[in-house]
Amino acid sequence: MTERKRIPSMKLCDLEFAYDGHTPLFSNAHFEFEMGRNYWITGETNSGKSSLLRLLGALSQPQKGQYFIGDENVFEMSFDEFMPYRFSIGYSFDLGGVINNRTVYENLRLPLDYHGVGTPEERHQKVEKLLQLFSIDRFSQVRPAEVTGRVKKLVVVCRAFIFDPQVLLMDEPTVGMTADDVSSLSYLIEEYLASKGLETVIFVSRNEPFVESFDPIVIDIQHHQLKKKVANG
Amino acid sequence: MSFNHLVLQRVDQLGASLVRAIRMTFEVFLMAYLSFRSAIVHRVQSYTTIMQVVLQQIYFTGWQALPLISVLALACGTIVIMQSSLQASLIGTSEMIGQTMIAVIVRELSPLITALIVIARSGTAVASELGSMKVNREIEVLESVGINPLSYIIFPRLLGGIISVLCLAFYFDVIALWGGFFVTSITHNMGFDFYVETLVQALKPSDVFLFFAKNLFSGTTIFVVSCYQGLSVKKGSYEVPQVTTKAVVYSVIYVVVFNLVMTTLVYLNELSKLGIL
Repeated sequence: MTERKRIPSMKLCDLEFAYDGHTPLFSNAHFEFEMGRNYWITGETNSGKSSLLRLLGALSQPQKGQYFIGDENVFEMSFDEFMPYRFSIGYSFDLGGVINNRTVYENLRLPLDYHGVGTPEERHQKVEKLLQLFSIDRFSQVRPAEVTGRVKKLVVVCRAFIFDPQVLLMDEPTVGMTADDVSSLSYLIEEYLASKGLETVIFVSRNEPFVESFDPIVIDIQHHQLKKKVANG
Repeated sequence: MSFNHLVLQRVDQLGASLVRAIRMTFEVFLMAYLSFRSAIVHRVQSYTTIMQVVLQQIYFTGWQALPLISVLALACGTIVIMQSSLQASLIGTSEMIGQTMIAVIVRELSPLITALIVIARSGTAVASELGSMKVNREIEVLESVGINPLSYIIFPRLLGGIISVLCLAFYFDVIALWGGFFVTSITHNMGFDFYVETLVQALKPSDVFLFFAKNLFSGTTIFVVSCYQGLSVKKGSYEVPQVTTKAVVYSVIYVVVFNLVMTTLVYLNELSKLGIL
């Protein structure tokens, strides 16, 4: 497995981003995400919340701008050059995000097998523990087409934790979940923040009580800029 | 709008199409190179990880196409032997049978028909599979967990496809040359030893070279074009059938043009050896 690198900070500079044929979502946007704090991205529908997470996860390239992890510009890195940081980032998709020709178990196991993380027994234990936390271990050998949206969502969320990340990027993580699932997710995030090297969680979510329990810094997307919301009073 | 303006507009459109085609050709072969480099030179993953996908591709592309290839090869072999032996016996050149079979079957029909079958069966499947994966964000999922799509998705399909095309083309030759003879022997009296002797005499190193060149190119091109088109889906599932069609069209064009160029080069080489050119 490639040696992972710690993320000292994540900084966006002069960011310009638009989808083909659409108005820009960001225009000369700047923001620095410090480690050790949680963040909550807010904004109107289609303001670019999910797109911002994709940029931070290096899953999209902007038209212009830089994304610094420490003093390295991520947008100038190749896929392999970014790998050490990739292991420090866990990403949870809002829609889709399951590998359809793999079972629920294999969806979580594949990244560990591919990168040779730990022994086969350790990988199995890790996957089983995550599945059991949300009581979806009984769907282990079932393919995504045969399970509900809730189970698919849980698979996507669980996979974000698979490399014990330093930074979590969570896009609408609680959509489709039961109240018990949300409690389990809160517990999981708290556990990883306390003792498994997780330092920062960046949320995009409409679930206010869930997100606010992590005391996040609120960042609002307004007029194609990223503005830190100041608390009233 | 004046006639001159219309002509210029048409020339402009043709030029733009040509530039797009050249750019796409470059990008397609760059993708093939990068996937090989990623998998073999950089060894971003162990070979056991991708072997399962390679073997699956060989099964779907090669093994499952055997019945169809058998029928086509038998038909082609029978037709060519019948026609050529009839014409040869009319002008007293029966010993040319072997050369005709090698020239028509081994050099031309087997690479072309094999490629067309693989395009229709597997090229479409790969393009639509990857297009669906793109729509469902499965490619992004792989990237998000550090799995390189070039070495994990494209390279195994490319390798499995190349192996399958080579094996299928060889199988086509065997069935066409031998099967065609046995079918024809029902109505036509030609000695098997005589037939084998003419084949052996006719087979040259350039035929082996042509076999590998055409089939390696076909195997590489079909799968990399299909992968490229599948991964070009951007917006939604409605694009999947569109990119599948493009994969078929471009694959056919590349394969046919390459076959034509190689045949022409070998033909000119033969003419120059004979002192005609």
